[in-house]
Amino acid sequence: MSRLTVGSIEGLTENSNVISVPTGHSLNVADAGGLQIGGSAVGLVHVSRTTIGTAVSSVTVSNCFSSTYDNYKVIVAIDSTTNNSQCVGQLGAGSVTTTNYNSYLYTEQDAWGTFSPASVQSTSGLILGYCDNINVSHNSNDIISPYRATLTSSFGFYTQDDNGGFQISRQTDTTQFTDITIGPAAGTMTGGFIDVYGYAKA
Amino acid sequence: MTMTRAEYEAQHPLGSVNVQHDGETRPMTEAEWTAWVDQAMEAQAAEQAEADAQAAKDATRQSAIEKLAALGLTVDEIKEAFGLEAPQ
Repeated sequence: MSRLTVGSIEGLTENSNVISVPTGHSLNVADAGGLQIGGSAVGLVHVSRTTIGTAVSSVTVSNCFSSTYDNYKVIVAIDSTTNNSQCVGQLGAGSVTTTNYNSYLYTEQDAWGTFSPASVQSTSGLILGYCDNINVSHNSNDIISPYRATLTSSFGFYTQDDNGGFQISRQTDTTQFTDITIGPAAGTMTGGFIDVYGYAKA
Repeated sequence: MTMTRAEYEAQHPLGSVNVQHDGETRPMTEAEWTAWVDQAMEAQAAEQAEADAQAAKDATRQSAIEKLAALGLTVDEIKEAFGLEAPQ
């Protein structure tokens, strides 16, 4: 990476060791890891975006976990699903791992405005949220240590057309997972995206 | 809503369901589709069992409340007397 000085970039100014971007200008860091403090990337770094296709049972996002980051945020926005069911994330390293999960989801269950708590569980995947049988389903989950040779944990929140809630999960293998396969436990999904971010270690 | 296997297969016939690996989408093979239907039926059964267990707990709680009412007591009175926080 080449070194730039303030004077070599049009628009940037320096005053009392503070570098300013004047109004009407923007600072574009093209490389996701290019914004650094003390030589290390900062904050959340975007790893990948996968657009969800049509009538798919699941989407595999491969090579999204690595030694670069220990912890990740996965945001899933599904435009429509065909069935009411859990949104499940199965970890993988080339092939999908379907066992040794302990996952629980807690929800207010009924339509918004009606409080009727309920829970669901799974042993075949991380529960990332719950899908509506027609409309939009959103969830956001932190995934801790998927690539480290230790158990993996996840926790997060979800909303969809009928209800919302939170979920906690773990996977107890010591596999160094590189992939995640996401989809509803029943039915298919169409449209939307899966974003994976890495938490910078610095 | 619980679906039978026949209903589920009719809703998602072979050929109508795709799998996606990163940006590439393809139709499920018959073996994948059969395993996928199996998995959906298992997930549905587990979720129904969870719902049934919760309904049984709700029924037990409601029965207890009705017995208290028959004795002239309310849940709030019991909570106050024993310093309890009953589940809502």
